[in-house]
Amino acid sequence: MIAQKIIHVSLILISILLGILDANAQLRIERKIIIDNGQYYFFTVDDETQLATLYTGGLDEKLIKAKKYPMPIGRELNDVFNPLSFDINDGKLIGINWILNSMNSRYEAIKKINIKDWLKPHPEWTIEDWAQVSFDQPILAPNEPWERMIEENNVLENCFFDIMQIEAKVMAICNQGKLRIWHSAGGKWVEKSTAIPVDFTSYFSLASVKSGTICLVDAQGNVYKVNDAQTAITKVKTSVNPKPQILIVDNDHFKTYTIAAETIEAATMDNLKGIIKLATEITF
Amino acid sequence: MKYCALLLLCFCSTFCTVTAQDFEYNFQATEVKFSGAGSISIRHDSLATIYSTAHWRNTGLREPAGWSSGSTMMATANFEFKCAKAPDSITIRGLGNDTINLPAQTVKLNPATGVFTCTYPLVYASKKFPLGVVNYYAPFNIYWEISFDKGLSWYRSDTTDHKVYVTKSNPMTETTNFKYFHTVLELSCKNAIGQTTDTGIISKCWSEFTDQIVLNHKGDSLHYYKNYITSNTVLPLLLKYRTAQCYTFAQLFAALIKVQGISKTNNYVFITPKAVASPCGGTINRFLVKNWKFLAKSDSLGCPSFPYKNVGTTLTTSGYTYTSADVIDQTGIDGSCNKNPSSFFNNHQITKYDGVYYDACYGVKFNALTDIKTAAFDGWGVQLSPGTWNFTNDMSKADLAETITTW
Repeated sequence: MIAQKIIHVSLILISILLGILDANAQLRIERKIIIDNGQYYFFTVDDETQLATLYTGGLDEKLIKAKKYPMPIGRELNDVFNPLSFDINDGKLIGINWILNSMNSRYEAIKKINIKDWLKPHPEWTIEDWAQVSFDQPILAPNEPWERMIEENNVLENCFFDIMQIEAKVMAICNQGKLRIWHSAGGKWVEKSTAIPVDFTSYFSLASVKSGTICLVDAQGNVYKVNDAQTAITKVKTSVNPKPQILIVDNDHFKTYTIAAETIEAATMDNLKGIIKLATEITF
Repeated sequence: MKYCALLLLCFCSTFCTVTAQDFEYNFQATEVKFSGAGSISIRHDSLATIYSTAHWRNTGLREPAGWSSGSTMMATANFEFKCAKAPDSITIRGLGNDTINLPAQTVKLNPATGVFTCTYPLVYASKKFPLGVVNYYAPFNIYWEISFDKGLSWYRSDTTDHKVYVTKSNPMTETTNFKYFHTVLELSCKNAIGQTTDTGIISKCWSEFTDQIVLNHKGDSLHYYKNYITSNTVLPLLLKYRTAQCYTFAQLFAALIKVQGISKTNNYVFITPKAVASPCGGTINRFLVKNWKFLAKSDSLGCPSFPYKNVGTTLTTSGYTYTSADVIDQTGIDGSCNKNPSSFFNNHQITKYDGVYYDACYGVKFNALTDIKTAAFDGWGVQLSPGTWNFTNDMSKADLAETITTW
């Protein structure tokens, strides 16, 4: 009897341990963590299905305790890595559904999703159902930035993009060293200026600071400020940690941080408040 | 003292028995391992893990080996030697295909329980794989011979058989989706055997696709949409699940070329209808690959330019169902290992080499982008409300746009 109990307790401990390890192994956060209305949100993307899973929880809760919800959005598993492009504001998700699928239109890829609508399970849906549902999500606006880019040059090289929502929706897209920044107004995309020369060879993320200034943060955490006229970018901060970085975007306090992805992966037993202490705020 | 060297040798495929005047002994290979500069770390199709370091075992293990041309095979082998009385050492050599031989090495016999063991040390073969030539050995046999008089006389003993691939050059560096998969080496080297030029290799590798029968290294079919509902869109998933979308066949063809060390840029083409607004308010963003049958128009008033209307289109595992339909799917153009693959798409991916578009899913090629819609499509589609599609069979209504990347 005692032996059975010992075995039982051991199995529970092993399960917990495996659960933690598994969570650590799986937790490859896409691009950024967003804090919005006292909750945090981030995504992972499955290596086979391309579909995203939303992780969310309270700021005092351990990351490992995050609630997980499949979301009708995802990204391709391309050799050229561009993480899921998304933003969350007031429970509204905007994102670029870049799942590679013969039925997914790149022109209709910019989606708007009400997160609350997707917090109930759909156990009857297959992976393919989820994919199809993602293609059918309503669009925020046609993907004119993509369309205009390939009209100008349809040969993609160092092509990366991201989207965010500050006062307006902003999309940045670059190809072959030309960066274009678009603003969405009334469902239409408007470009403030002509292309800005850049030399990105890996992905970047859009961010903003308190003043509303737009900046780009590259995969290594280097920060580039976009001038008000959006005619030039200037490197304003060189990363001290060249390892892949994640952004923490605190909508509640208008702050943005960078933190090494591996630091978060090692800190899943901590809560986000603790993790932020390990991060570096973007200021300039 | 009587040594085994005095005995006659007879063949057997797995274990050699040598008969003496009053006793017999056996000589058997137990394991062969290959290596050497220029060797290729081949991966399992399904697991994407690299094959173990042993390439042959007498327990039945057979794992492929590969080198780039101009490099020299290295091999080591273990043997068992059963003999009541054995010499301290014997000499071993291996005779391979194309006189690629493993030179004589005198090795010590080590006593073990009921058997002697010996190891043929890791040495280079006698000559390189000819530089710049693709080769494919199925099998590469090594005839192991032993000598008891330091090479004066040789006795053929065991034979080991190996699948060996030789690429023209060092394969391109692995990426997330391009890896040195077994089937990639198999299809590339088997088709391009003897080729010495990039154009020759591309042409021969393409021949793998032209009969719409693409098989993996085991001879299992690689299906283009065996199941219409598949989300497999990268090469590793085609090889793992053996059914996938168009992207994966384009990637497979590109991989067959990359694994030969051929570097080509702007070789991967994503095609989709140009985002042209239709007069009915939607955007043309679907196309129908042959064959579709256009019945009576039911929406000539609602959308005169796209008057064929399908309502409630649902994708099933083997086709499409509709609540009502003016356009219905027919048996289509053959895709890989599938006579009637999926045919209602937003986009498609193909490869492009030296100005020619290769559609590996269907095994056809085109000289110009505009040729594709004429030769392969039956119609354009536009979605006007959820679940409702309008079509036209007037192919002049739209064109394809291409986005080009390097794979």
